[in-house]
Amino acid sequence: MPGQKLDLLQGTLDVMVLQTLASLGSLHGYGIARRIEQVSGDQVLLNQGTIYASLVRLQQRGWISAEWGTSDNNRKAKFYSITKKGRSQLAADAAHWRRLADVMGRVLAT
Amino acid sequence: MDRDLESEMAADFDLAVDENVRRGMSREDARRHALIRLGGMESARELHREARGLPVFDTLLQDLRYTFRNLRRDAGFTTFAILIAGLGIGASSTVFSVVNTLLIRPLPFSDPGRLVWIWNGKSTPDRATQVGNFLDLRDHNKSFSDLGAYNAFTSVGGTKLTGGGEPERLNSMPVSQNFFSVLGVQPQLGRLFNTDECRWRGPKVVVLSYGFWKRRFNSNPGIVGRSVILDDAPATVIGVMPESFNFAAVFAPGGRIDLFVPLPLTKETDASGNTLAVIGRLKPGATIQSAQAEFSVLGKEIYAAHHERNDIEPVLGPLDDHVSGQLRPALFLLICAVGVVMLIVCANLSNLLLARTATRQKEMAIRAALGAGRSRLIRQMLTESIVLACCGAVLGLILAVTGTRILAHLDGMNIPLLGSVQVDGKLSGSRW
Repeated sequence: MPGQKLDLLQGTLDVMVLQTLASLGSLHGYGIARRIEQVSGDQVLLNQGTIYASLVRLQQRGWISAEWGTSDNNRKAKFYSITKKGRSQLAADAAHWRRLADVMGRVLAT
Repeated sequence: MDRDLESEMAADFDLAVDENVRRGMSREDARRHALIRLGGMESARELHREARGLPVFDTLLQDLRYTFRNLRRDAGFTTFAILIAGLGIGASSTVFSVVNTLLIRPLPFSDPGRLVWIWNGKSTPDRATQVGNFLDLRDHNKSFSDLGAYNAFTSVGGTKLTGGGEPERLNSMPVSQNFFSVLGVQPQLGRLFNTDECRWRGPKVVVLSYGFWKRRFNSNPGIVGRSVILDDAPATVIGVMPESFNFAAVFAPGGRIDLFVPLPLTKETDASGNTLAVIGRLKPGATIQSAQAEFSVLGKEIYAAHHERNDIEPVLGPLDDHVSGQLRPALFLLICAVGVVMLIVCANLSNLLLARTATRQKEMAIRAALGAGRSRLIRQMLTESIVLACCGAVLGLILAVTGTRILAHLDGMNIPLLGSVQVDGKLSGSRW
C-alpha cells in the first residue's frame, strides 16, 4: 500500500544500523534512529524501542561496541561504534541484499 | 542491565528534546514529541530484554519445565523409556553387585592373602588328600604355621535332624580341629572342638552355621549347651558361627552347610583313602613358591616311606585363586549376559527416541523460525534425554537395591547358577 511506512524485519534493521555506524562513525542510539529515518526519506517506520533491541543484538554478536560519552551539547549518551567483525558482516550482508534486490527486481519485472 | 537501558533511554530522550527545541518547538512540545518518538517505554524494555537473552539458569529452568510438560504429554513413551532404562540399569547393577561380592571382595578370613589351597595332583578328579599323608605333611613342613582340612566328600542331606519340630535333612561338614583357627575365625557363641571331641567315636558335638541357627532355632542363644537329635543320636551344640562365616559360599558354591562336626584324623579315617581338602596358613616370611618347592620334596619322601598309602603330589595355590577360579567362568558369562542386556536397552531407547524425533520435526522448525538458535534446540533435546536418563537411573537404583537385598537373603547367598559345581557325595558323612 503506497504512502504507508515500511515495517522492518529484525535482520534488516540490524544491517541499517551497521551501515549507519560504518559511514557516520560513533553515534548514540537516538542519532542512529534519526539518521535511518532521514536517509530512508522518512519511509521507514521506526520505533525507538526496536533500535535498542537491535543495538543489544549487534553488541552480543560483537559487531558493534558501546561506550558512555558526552554529546556535542554536553549531554551524556551511550555511543556505539562498528567493530572490524561488524564491518565484514556488513559487507557480506550488503552483497546479499544487492543480490536479493536484483533477483526480485528481475522476477517482478516478468 | 535494565538500569543501563533506563539511563540510555533517558539520555536519548534528552537529546531528542534538545533537538526539537533547536528546531523551534517550545519546551513542552519538544518533550511531547520526544515522548512520542521514544515509543512505548515498556515495549522498548521488553524488546531489549528479549534481545539480550536470559542467563543460563533461566534457560535451564525453562528447558526443564518444557521437558516435563512434553514428557507428560507423551506419557506412553515416557513410561516405556523410563521402564526400559530402569530395568536395564537395575538388572545390571544387581548382577554387578553379586559379581563384585563374589569375585572382587577379599575372603572373609583374617589375613586371607596368607591362606593356601593344597590339592593332590595324584588324585583325580577330586584331588583330595589321604589322612595319613595330610598328617605327615602337617607335622614335617616348615612353611606353614598350620594345615587344616575338611571332608571333600560330604553328601547333600546326609544328616537327619529329628525331635523338637519337623524332621529335616541337613548338610553337615566334618572339619579338622584346627580348621577354624587356620582361617582365623571365631565362633560368635560358644566354642570350637577340643581334642577329645576329635577322637574316633568321640563325644558327638556340633557347631551350628549362622544361617541354620537363625532359621531353625530363631537365633536363640540358649541353644548352646543343649542337645539335638542327629541321625537318631543326641549331639551337643557347642557353638554357633558368626554371620560373616559362610563356608559354602567360599568352599562349595551352590551348596549350603548347616552344621560343622569334628573330623577325626585317625587310622580309621585314613582307611577311606583320599578324602581331605587341605588349606594352610603360610608362616610369615614364607612364600607360596618356597612352600611349593618344599612340599614337592616332602610328597615324594612321604610316599617313599609309606607305599601302603595313596600316592601324594602336593600342588599349592592361593586360596583366593581357588575360590574365584571356581566361580570365574560362570561369573564372566553373567557379566557378558548383562553387557548384552545393556546393549539391548540402549538400542531400544535409541529407537524410541529416534521415532519420537521424527514426529517432532515440525515443532523444531517452528521453534527455529521463532528465533531459537541451534544450540538452544540442541540443549532442549539434551535436557529431555538427561531427564529421561535420570528417571531411569533412579528406578534402576531402586530395583538394584531391592534386587541385591533379595539375592543376599536367598538362603545365605546361594548362587543358583552354579548348581553344577557341587561336592560329590561318594562317602557318606554319616559314617561318623
